[in-house]
Amino acid sequence: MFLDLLISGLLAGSLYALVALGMVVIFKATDVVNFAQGEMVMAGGYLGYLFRNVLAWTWTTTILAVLACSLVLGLLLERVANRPLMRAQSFTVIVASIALGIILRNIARVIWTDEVYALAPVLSGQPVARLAGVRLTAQNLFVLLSAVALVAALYGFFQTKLGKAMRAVQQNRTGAELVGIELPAIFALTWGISALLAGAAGFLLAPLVGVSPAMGWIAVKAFVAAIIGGFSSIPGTIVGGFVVGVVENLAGGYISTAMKDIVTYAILIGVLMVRPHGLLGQGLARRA
Amino acid sequence: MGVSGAGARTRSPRRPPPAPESAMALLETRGLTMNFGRLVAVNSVSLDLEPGEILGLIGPNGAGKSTIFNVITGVYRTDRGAIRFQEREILGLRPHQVARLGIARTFQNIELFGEMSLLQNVRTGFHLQARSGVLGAMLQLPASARREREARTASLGLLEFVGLERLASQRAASLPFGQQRLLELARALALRPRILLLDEPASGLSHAETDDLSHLLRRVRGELGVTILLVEHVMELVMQLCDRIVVLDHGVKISEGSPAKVRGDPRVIQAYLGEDAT
Amino acid sequence: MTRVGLLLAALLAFVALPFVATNYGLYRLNLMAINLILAGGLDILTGWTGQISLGHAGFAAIGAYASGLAILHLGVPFWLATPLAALFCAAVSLIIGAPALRLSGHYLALATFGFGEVVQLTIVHWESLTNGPRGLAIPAPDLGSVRLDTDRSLYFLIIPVTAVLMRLAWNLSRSGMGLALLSIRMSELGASSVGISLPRYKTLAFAVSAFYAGIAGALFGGMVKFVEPGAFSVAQSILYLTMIAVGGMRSIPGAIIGVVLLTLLPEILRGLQQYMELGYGLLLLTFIIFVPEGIYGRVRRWRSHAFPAPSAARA
Repeated sequence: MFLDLLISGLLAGSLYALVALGMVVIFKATDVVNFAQGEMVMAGGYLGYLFRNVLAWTWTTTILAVLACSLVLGLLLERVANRPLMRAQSFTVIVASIALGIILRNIARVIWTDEVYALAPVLSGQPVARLAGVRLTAQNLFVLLSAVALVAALYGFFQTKLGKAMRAVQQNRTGAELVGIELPAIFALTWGISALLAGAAGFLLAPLVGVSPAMGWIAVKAFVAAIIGGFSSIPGTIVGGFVVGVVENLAGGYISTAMKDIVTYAILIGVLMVRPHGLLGQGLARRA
Repeated sequence: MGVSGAGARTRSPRRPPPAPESAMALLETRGLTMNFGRLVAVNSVSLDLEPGEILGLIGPNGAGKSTIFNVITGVYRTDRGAIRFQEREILGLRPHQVARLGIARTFQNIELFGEMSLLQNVRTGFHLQARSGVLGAMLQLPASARREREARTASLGLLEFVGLERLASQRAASLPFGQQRLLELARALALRPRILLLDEPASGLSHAETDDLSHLLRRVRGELGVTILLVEHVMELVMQLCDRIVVLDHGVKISEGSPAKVRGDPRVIQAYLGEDAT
Repeated sequence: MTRVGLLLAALLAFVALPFVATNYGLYRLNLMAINLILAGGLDILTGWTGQISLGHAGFAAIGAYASGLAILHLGVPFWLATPLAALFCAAVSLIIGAPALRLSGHYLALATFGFGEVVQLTIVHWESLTNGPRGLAIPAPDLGSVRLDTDRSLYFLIIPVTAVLMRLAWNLSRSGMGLALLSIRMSELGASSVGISLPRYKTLAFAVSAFYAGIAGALFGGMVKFVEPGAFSVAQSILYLTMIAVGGMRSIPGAIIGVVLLTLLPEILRGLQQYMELGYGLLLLTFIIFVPEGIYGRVRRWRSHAFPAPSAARA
């Protein structure tokens, strides 16, 4: 049973890590924690349902469309909700992003109610492989490989000229401005990428939990993952995701399902009390 | 009435008050280094601040002057070097702890409490002396109320010292720039500090205001016995006010001494010329 | 009208009101007063020091359940159980607040969110103690031999308590300590440069706000004689944040405006239940961006433009 829980924990963790990466990317470039990240995940689920179930497109087209629309949604949100607050106090930005999340989630509730829609997985649920005695379905592998592909793409992006500009902004905003990097463009791109990661995660998540406004709650687990990773690096965040996924699954399996959520929050509070800077990285603290 | 207070503008000799017990430097840094990633902002800087003097810290832009202030006051953290205040090691202390030891400062970009009145701004500087518990404050116990009155009286006194007492109940954010500077100075003095760190106090001031500032700072040193370390770009203020000057360039100390000596130092001229040329 | 005259009139109105108002009106008034206690306390944390808490409903829950359980199982009288429960809330706040407050505001927002959720989940799952989602019936508050069973009798308890707590908060705002707290939001650099310890004062504000929330929770439990976890969700916490953001932070009239508006709004818009949360979100977003000073702040600005302050104003 242990290995079963471990593997399912890693699978869940890969999704948490994806969502968390989106948060970390935004935070590093803009010093803003996006409390509406969960709703961007939810959007990915609804988009998947729209393209696949309503418009009956092929999987390939659906996937591409979900990614593209998520990117655009991110750009839109940045323009509308973040840009006007570019020079505002962090307090305003935090509250605004909380409000944004509420608005997005409730728009979905008003339009589609709290009903849970079913989105079929891309690949079958038939076991096709065994890892250390645990059966993995085709869909499991698809999720894992997609996550890996997205992370690899992210790494690749950071090597490009645009990606390097983004890294410059992450390290030293004033310095980047001085060498001529256009901040608004970078912010827009940051949110676009973050939304893309979130949308992809939503699409991968939907077959597991169904499409509904409540999908956004995965963001809580993602926050914990990001905090464990110190809100600073890709590897740290990925490790954070796995830690959350594995620990909550183990708790759920060995103690009770009720403990799954409590354990996640316990990790959150525990990490904040003991090692607020995350187990790796420098965390959200900037100054002395 | 102008920017300054009603202080007499006598031509007092540039002599600091007699040094206290020991002849040890009041504040000294040894090999102070501050890195931002790979950028070395402050490179092994050692300087002494003698009690009662006015020391100027100058250098071309980006020389690391404000950074040194931030390291001394604990806003930036570094682990390279040493800072000693009255022979006590203060590297690693947090800003409020440094303030409590008696090192006050002003900021290049004014950090006033804009929505509070002038009086309230200065009053916050007295919060250390007029401390009451939460309960005392909420219940307005007689002891708290008395301390409150004392603090307000003292705050008004400091506003008088800098010449702003008539604006005491005005909102700080509504002040013109030069007066905001003075308010920050008054607030810093509320700490009854031994050392005052001034970050570009003359920036943005008119010629007359700079003159007034110079006289005011001499009164701060003379009447209040405060030692002053001053970062400044406005050379006229530096030359007429400072007993000694330290010059930084790209984080490194390149010269120090009397204003006359520094003015003629070829390295200093080179550092500034080099900047002008670009 | 003289000061004393005004005071007497207010006292008279206070005593007379319950005899002319309906029971439901009194119930609403009591509810608003309780909300005011919580919102006012939250303002000390969020409005004064600029720290965001997404878990204050959790403190209200602890206040409600702690006092309720103390009354039920330990026989502690209501007038003692309430402040004790509130002190317990303050103690709990020190545990989660102290570490989180040393860091940036994002951390506290996340930590308090987690805290609020943990409290709610604990109440739901610890059935042996709390009776879980089914809720707990609590006896009506008793002061000695008097049982406060009606809206009117509760009014005579709740309104004075609210008034006292608001007065204490007002006193605090005029004190040196209050100035120190207020300075933190305006400039953390400036505050620390005058010796104000940011972690210490933020923690203090957090504890005071938790105390207030605890009182509010205990009063709420006594008033409705029933507590259940659903009433203390993160949505509630955000609602309180919305109240002070919309009404105006750092002022008691602002808190009153926010509380009245957002307590009455759901009643006015009774038919549009499903749009309620969306409405709150839009309200919060609009105000925080365009009217950050809140309704009362706006009113004050208009007034000061219309009537310039006299030059010899008292400092």
